Amino acid sequence: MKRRPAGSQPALRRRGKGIGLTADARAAYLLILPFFTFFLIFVLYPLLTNFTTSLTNENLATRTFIGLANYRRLLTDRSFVRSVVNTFVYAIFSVGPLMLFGFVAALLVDGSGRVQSAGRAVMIFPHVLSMVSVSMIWLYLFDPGSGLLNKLLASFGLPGSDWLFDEKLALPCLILVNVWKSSGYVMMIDLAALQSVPPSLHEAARVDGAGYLSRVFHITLPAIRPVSYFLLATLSIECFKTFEQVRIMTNGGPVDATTTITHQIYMRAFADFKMGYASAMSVVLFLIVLTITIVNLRAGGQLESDRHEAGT
Amino acid sequence: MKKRLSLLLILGLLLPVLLTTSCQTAEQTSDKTVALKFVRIGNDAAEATYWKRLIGDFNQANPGIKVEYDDAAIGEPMETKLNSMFSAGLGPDIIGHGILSVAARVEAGHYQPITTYFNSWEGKDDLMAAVLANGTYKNEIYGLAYSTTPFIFAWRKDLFSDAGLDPEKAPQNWEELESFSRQLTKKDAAGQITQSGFAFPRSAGNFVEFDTLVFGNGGLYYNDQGEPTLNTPDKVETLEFLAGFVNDVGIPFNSNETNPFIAGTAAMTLINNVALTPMLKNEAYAGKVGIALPPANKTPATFSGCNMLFVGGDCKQPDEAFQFIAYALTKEEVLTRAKELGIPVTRQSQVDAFIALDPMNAVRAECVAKGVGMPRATWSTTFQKIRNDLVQQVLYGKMNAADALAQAQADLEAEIAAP
Amino acid sequence: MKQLAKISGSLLLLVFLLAAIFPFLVMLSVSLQDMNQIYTPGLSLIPRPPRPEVYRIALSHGNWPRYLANSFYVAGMATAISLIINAMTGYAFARIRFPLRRLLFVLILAGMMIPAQVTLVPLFILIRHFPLAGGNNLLGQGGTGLVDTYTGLILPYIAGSFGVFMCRQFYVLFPKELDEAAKIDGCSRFRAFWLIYLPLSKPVLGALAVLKFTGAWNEYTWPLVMTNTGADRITTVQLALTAFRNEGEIFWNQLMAATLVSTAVILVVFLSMQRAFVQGLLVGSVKE
Repeated sequence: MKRRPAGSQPALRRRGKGIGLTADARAAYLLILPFFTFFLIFVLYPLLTNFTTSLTNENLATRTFIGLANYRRLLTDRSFVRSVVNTFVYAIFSVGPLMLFGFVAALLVDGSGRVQSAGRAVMIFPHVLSMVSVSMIWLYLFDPGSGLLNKLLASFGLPGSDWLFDEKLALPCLILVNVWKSSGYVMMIDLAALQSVPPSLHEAARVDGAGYLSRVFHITLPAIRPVSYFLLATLSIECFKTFEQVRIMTNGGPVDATTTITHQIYMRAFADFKMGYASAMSVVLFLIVLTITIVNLRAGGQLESDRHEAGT
Repeated sequence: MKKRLSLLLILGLLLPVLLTTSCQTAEQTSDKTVALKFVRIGNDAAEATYWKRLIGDFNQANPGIKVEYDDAAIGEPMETKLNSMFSAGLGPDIIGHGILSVAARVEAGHYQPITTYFNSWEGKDDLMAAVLANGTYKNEIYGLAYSTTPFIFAWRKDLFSDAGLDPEKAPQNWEELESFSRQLTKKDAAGQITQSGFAFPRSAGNFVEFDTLVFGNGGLYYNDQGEPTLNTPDKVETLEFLAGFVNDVGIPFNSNETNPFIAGTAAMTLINNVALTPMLKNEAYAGKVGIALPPANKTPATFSGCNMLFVGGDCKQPDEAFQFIAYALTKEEVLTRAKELGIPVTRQSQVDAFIALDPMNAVRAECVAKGVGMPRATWSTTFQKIRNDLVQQVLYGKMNAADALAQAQADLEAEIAAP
Repeated sequence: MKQLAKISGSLLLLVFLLAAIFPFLVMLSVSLQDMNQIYTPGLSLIPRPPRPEVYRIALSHGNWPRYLANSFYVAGMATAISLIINAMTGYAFARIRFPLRRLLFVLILAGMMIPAQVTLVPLFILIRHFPLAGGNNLLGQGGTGLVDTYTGLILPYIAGSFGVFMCRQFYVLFPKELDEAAKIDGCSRFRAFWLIYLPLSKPVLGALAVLKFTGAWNEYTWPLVMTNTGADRITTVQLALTAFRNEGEIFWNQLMAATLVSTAVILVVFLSMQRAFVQGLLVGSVKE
């Protein structure tokens, strides 16, 4: 029997002859109805279609049921296996720096001064650029022959590098670009979250003699915990789905050093026309991301009833 | 208050319904007018302008037909667009696409055969044999070529002179290619290459530069039965030849990006005809660039892409569709495309006029005549990825040529056999 | 000590700003260069000679005012509708306990986990067979549905789960005293949302507005399949930007110029939402 906080009532209760919903539950369902209408039609239905397609060999010409053959094939697909490894590496090494830089940036630009205002606009700039544009700019910078980075190094007498053409450096370069681009996103959300921390808490702590860093660690961070977990979850999801950057900057190379799962899906679906096989890959991706997200949110206590909530 | 909220919610639900009844597209064409949808591969502004003008002229000359123009960027965007349209039953009537698409889309019913139309077409004996073959699949004709993109060999005459080589003589065979490359490569004090002797891509969306050398060594990628033939001695020879010198004489680059030759840092290269154009227009390089058929080991050959006009599989008015195709392929239009867009002609009778426009066109015409395209097989896109990977494996020193080719052949066969 | 902290803080900010802005400077420089200079070997950041007419040339290909207006309309409508709907839904998940809540929430999260590429074609078929639109009958047969319409472009953006997730996490931060006070005053859940939560949502809605707008503005693949680019009617900016290259060349200067113009629009949206980010509106809402 689930324990309920004192003072709450079950949402469903017997009312005489039948089961009725409480006013609260009715209100909730009505509130979520508009979104769910769109969601069911435009997200859930294609999602389910995708699952069924993964059990077929759909290509341009045919579509027949083949059971789990696609999944079995994935296990021996060298490029796919490599893409899973690459995606994990990419995600792990992106999320940490992103959370850190974004949070620090938010702290630096919090406030209504002109400097902060300008700082916000400047730092959001990489994020509002499309990934296509960002990729093209960094391609230009990373070019081994006429790119800016090698030229800068040369002017200091240092040897240049092959950057994106070097199998060991290519993925780190992509990670760098990702961190550069998305720090602004983390900054913006952390900034919004910082607004919800009551200054009275900071005042009280300051009076008690707590320094700035101490206050950040003991007051700010715990207060914005739900948002931090939100960022962790969404950043992980986005990093696992990374694709546009790979397509433009390296197209998965050199020799599969930067291919990601979504890149594999894209190539299989839109270049090879093997939609069934691509769908199977996307189901694998889905399962990986779902697991990580649920573990993430469970660990952060975000799926449980929060002490902030009031029941009926 | 509750009323206001309920109103808001109802509005939130009704909004999409309200929206759908506004902004309608449905073009009301009269029953007599035949509406044809034309989708072209490539969305660059210059060629788009040309096609819109052509369509305007055609629509005016044929009052009962109305052709509508649409395009998509080369590569996956075009495939995505076509696939979505066909899946939803909105397949276009006329399609401008490349060799790579032929086999797969014919099998999928996206293209319909136009052999009978071709046989009664005025230009049937005039279309160059090489390009006609590109649009043929299983003995039926599906596409007629309107544009070709041959790969040519280009070199810097001034850099040749500097290195003591005859500026008018391009390398004639592979030995000369390698030895010239080494002579033309310059390095700085730190050992970094500042001038590339021969610019060969280290990665590519489509490694056709490699194909060029393969064809020049007498090899093809598939046999008469349509089976892939990657693992043959001539290809091993080609790959070993490349691996032997290409990394010593070049700066890495991706063939989708700027070729160092265009940036002025390479002495020789294999390059797409279209990509060379900005350099030829640049006064700084006037008279310094020479072009030729790529040096071959056995038979002179090169890679040549080809865009063709197809009639869509769902098209209900193929007569009118072919009328448009014929209109786009008249002698005059073929020459107009050469004049305005620099596209090499596809009709034999126009070759002389084409060469008269620019003496360099003689080389281009020769490259088209000796050009071979992507394989016309249902596995051609899978082949593309496997071929790219195999070249990279060898250039990055991960495998030797023989092993890489054997693995590629095995992979391709496995892909073809997969359910 | 405080001075040192302040200086290091400023220095850190400067480093961040430089890192964020230098590619913008590169873009600006490239856009003003002559193509010949771009192809010349050697480090060339100063345009010699600067060619500001590139902006006029780039924007004269096709119908740029229309493209910008189209993108603005599509992104704007998608954002506006999303904001309301996401806030409502996020509020319900955050503040009300109802049956199946956790399951439904996980379902919403699941919607974010499939890459858009695989849902593209089923979605397109769905849009094509939308009943009573574009010549379709009740069963969705016969016409072209919502293909090549603004509505068809906008609808899928509204169904994104990201906004719901974000709003929920923000509404969870609100103290429970807020709900209790509302209940004591006899407010229904709707009223509480409308009168209490919504006015306090400026930071999260401001952030969400920027993110949604940017996301919709930068979309390429969906407009690609939905739009007839030849007709130039609902073509968006991202589609138009791909026209600055052909099979062999990329017209870098024009591309950078057009991209900067396109990005300027988003920056304007961001600047107008800025005030929302730094108002401590929650302060004083709960009477101590």
